[in-house]
Amino acid sequence: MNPEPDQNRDLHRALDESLPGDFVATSLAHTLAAVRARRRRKQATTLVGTLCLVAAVVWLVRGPTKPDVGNVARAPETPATAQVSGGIVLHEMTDAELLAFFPGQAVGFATVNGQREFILLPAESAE
Amino acid sequence: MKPVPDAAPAPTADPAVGAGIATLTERMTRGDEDAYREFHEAWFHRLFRYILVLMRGDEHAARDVAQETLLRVVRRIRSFDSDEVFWDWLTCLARSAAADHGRKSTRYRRFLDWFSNEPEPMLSEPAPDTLETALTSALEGLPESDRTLLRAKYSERRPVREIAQESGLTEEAVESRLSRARAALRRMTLKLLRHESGT
Repeated sequence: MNPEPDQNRDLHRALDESLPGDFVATSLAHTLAAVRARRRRKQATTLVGTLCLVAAVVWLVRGPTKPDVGNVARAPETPATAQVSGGIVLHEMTDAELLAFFPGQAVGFATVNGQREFILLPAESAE
Repeated sequence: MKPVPDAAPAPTADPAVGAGIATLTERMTRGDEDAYREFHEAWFHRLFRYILVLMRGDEHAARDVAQETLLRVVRRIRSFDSDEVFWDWLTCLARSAAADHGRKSTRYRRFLDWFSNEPEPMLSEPAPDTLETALTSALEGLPESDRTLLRAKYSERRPVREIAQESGLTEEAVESRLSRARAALRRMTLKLLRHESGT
């Protein structure tokens, strides 16, 4: 392939050959570096795109995953509140609310014979 | 004219040239480094000459613009079916790179203009025969010995060995003189291009 038209080719060649060889070589080296950089970018983009596609397919096939409740610290449950006849409102107290009624005292919960019990120790036993 | 081993390749009349550029540009779109080497080998000098004229003989600016043009080729390469269309595309990229370079220079020049009242030079499309005119004038401006040497080497395409035998010099001496003559031709051509932009 020779892209050049005929006119003044000879003098053109003289001008071309007067260019420093290192400039031409550097120009080629920079061009090839740009080609490599572009190829790497393209490969990275393809890889990320493929991973996204695979992730999307997996998500669509399996459905959104539910959080593993067993491994997650549970927030304290809000106490249940029930309205009974006669306008009386029953409020089920949480453990924290119960313990808060005994500030400065040794209190706690213990399981005795399979049953959970509230323990309130006298002041001298706590020491 | 005698056929000589170190002569430039003659312009090809190969009908497969179109297919050649199609294959080459197709390979370039795939990021084939060998294709870029072939492209550089075949087109770089012509492109640089075009840019040299575009930049009015400012070789330093022409180098920057040539490199930027090649980077744009890498970024925007696509397939082409003919040399002419490919060349038009290349010159389009070169003009765009030159315009951007000009804008950057203009910003700097504006800053300098705080201190002087020089008018800003305008970048426009050069006449197609600008380089030919400058080269011919530059050749005419060289000493007779340089002119004869360059004509023998480039117009008559005679090998260095033959020129050396005729002139009674060694081949190395002829190469050395040729190198100086080429450098003088280049300097003179660039000077003429700059001078033309000033008129």
